[in-house]
Formats: sequence, C-alpha cells, structure tokens
Amino acid sequence: MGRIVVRRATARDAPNLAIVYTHAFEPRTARGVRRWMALVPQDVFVAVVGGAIAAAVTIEYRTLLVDGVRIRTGGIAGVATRWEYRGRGLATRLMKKALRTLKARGISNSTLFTGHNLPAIRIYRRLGFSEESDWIGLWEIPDPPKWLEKRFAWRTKWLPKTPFGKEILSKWRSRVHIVTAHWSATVTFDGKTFAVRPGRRGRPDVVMQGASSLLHCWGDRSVFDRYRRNGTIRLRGDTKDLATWRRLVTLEWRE
Amino acid sequence: MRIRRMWPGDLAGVAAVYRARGAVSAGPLARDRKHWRRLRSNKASRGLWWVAKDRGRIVGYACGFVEDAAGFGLEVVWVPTLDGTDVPSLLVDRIFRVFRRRTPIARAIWFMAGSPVAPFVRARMPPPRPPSSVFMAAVTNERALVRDALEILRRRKVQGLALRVGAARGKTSGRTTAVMTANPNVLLGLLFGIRQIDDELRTARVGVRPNTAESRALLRAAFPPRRFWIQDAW
Repeated sequence: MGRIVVRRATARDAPNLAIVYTHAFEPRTARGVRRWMALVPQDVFVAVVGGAIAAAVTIEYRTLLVDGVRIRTGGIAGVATRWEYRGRGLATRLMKKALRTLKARGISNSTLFTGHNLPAIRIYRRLGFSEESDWIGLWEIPDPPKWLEKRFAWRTKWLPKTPFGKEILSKWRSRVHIVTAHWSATVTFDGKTFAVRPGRRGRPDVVMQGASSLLHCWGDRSVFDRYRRNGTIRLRGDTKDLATWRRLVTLEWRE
Repeated sequence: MRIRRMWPGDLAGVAAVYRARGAVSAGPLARDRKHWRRLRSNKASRGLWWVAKDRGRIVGYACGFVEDAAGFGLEVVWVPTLDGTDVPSLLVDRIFRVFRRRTPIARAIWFMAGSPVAPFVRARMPPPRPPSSVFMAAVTNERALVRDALEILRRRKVQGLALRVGAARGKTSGRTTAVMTANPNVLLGLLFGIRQIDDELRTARVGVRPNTAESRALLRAAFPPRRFWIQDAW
C-alpha cells in the first residue's frame, strides 16, 4: 500500500467519494454525494492512497436537546472503505482523526448508529464508543413475494457496480425456492437481472424453508446464522450454492 | 380532539409540539426552520403529515413517507401533558390506516428501544425482528462534557453537587454536599437517560461521597429517568 494521506474532502472529491460509498452502502452518484455534503454542516475526512480516495468518514455536526439544553454532538456517518483497501486500518485512522477534531472543537461527545453484526462495531468499541440503545424496526409485510422482488431489484442495481458483486454474480445461475406455510417464491438470475415470482417454478438448486419470519434475516448475517442454528430456516442444496445464497441474502459484502 | 391532515399554517404548532417534547426529553435533535422546511418538502412524505388538534391548539403530530410502495412511519410526537391519553394511539392508528390503503407491499417503523412511541406501535405491528442496529456514543472531550452536564443540572435546579469525571472537575451552585465520580461514558449515558442512576450506583460505576441517603437522593434528582427519544438517525 502506498503512502496514506488523511485530509478533508471537498465537493470536488464527490465522484471518488461516490465510488467509495457505492462499495460500502448502495449505488451513489457524484451529484447525490454533493447534495448530501450540503445538507448539514459536516466534515468529510478521506484517506488517500496512491492518489485515490480509499476510505471516508463524516462528522455531521448536530445539536441534541436534553431537557431543553442544547448539547452539541458529532454524529459519525458514512464510514466507508473501498473493497480493495479493507482490513488495513484506514477507517480506524480516519475515526481517530474525527475524534481529535471533535475534541479540538470543544464538542463533548460523538454518536453513531451501526449494525450489531458489522465488523466496524469493533473499531468503534476500541475507540471508546459504547452500545447505548437498540434501534428497533417493526415490519409488516402483507405481500412477501412483492417485497422480495423489491429487495432483489435493489441487488440487481447495486451488485454489478461493485467488484465483489461482479465476481459472485458471474458464477451465479441457481434457482432458489423460498417456501413458508403461507406463501412461496422462486428467485432466478439470468446474468443481468434477478427475477422473483410467486409460487414454486422449475427444479430448484437451493430451497430455503421456514416460517414467514425468515424475512427478518434479509440484510442481516447474524440473524441468518441464528435462524439457521435454531431451525427457523432450513436450507437444502449444494454447499457452494448455499454459501453464495447466504451472501446474497445477508449482503455480507457490505462489511 | 380530532386528527386531520396538516396544513401549511400548522407548521408553527407542530414545531411547538416538538419543542415541548424536547424540553422534557433527552435526545431529540434541535431543529431550525431550514430543518423543518427540508422535512416538509420531502416529496415522499407528501400528504403523510397529520396533526392532533384539541380546542384549536395542535397537541401532537405524526408523519411518514412512502418509498417503492412501502410505507414508513417517521415521527409520532405529542405534548408531554398528554402522556397517558389516547392521542399517541390515535396518531399511530391514523398513520397505519393510511399506509394499509396506500402501501400494499410493506409497512415499517423504526424507534429507539424504550421510546414512548414503542408501546403504541408494538400493539399494531407483528413482533420485531431481532435488533440489528444499535446507537453508540463516546465522550470526546471530558471538560466539555462536564460543562454540558453542569448546564443540564442547572436546568434541573440541582445544587450542591460536584462532578469528577476523569481529569475534569466541576460543581453546581450552592455549598457542595456530595461529590460524584463517574466514568465519562457513564455520565454521558446518565445525561441522555439511557443509563439509570440506581443501576450505576449498585454496580459501582458511579461513586458518591459521602455515601449517604441524602447524597444518593441528590443524584436521583440530578439524573431522573428520561426516555431517550432520538427521531433522527443519521
């Protein structure tokens, strides 16, 4: 890895930041990044490696109310690293820079939201963050096949724009049946687009069976693994296919 | 009391409800006019703001947004004087009744564990998925933390309490009758209302001298139970 330079980003970095955010979160455009940078007062720190932006961390300056008293907080957002630079301590370096900046500005605290299952949580703990409260989501999904269709439409849009997605999709042609007591769906991929249809169609390579609550594991690796261990979901198929399916469901690449 | 769609002229009343809640809660983000304008101008939220009106005064509001035929509850806020009434329940009912008509694929709402909205939402939705997201906080500047803490304690009319947080020191007005020692992150959690003072005393993460009933009562007054009510995830 070349020399690492940590600096503040400007609006001119938006196209490169869009690539970093696409690798970490979802498809982003330079225009979208510029708009986001103008939304709230913020500092975006980037790690530049060999002239290319490899990682980014944002501090959003916000004010919390506590019994009506205004307490400034540095909200940490957009912690992202390009796929090929992960595991090299860039995010830690940027986070340390962000915390030093907050200290120098006389801001007493820093806050953030993250996933329980993401490796980033280890970095935050090491830097002094503690888990304070769960952020709970309640879902009501009356039409699960349609909901799955939306989820896979998003995967169709996002994954080909990332190096890890491209690699895995080039080998994936398996047909998957998702089966519960109340509904079932078939997921296929033709090399470009995922298709989800209600019902069981064709001969499956992978079968995922369980209660309707199996949808809870979408986008969450820890829930997927827990459900698999306790039998809430049962999987049948070739080991290689199952490993890829797990990644497709849980979006493990986001790490 | 009735629930109706929000009109443009209601914004001042809605902001007042939010301020009233912010005055007795921990966690809501301070909002200026620009922030409110941005929230209101979100096209995905068009037609999805409701207000609760009682005797000509706005006493609560709810809003949501629709994305890809899925409906998301965004905020349900009411004035603290109406805690324990049916206002929050009616607001939550309204938001999900409209979603049931307009969003065939999915409905969702997010909130902090322990939020006052939680019981009303849980009563209307299937059981939650295992928690996947978490709110984390860290102290970046101990001196600034003590400064913020003293300002909050002044608002709570606490007197005679000295704070020792890491290397930082501070005291409220009046003759010092108790000295509290705490780890910075613990004090931050207490200020946010996420941690409870009795638990922290029991587990010795907070120390008080002299360790008497009076001192502990002073700490309880300084850090009363608060529901952390952050509406804006970033």
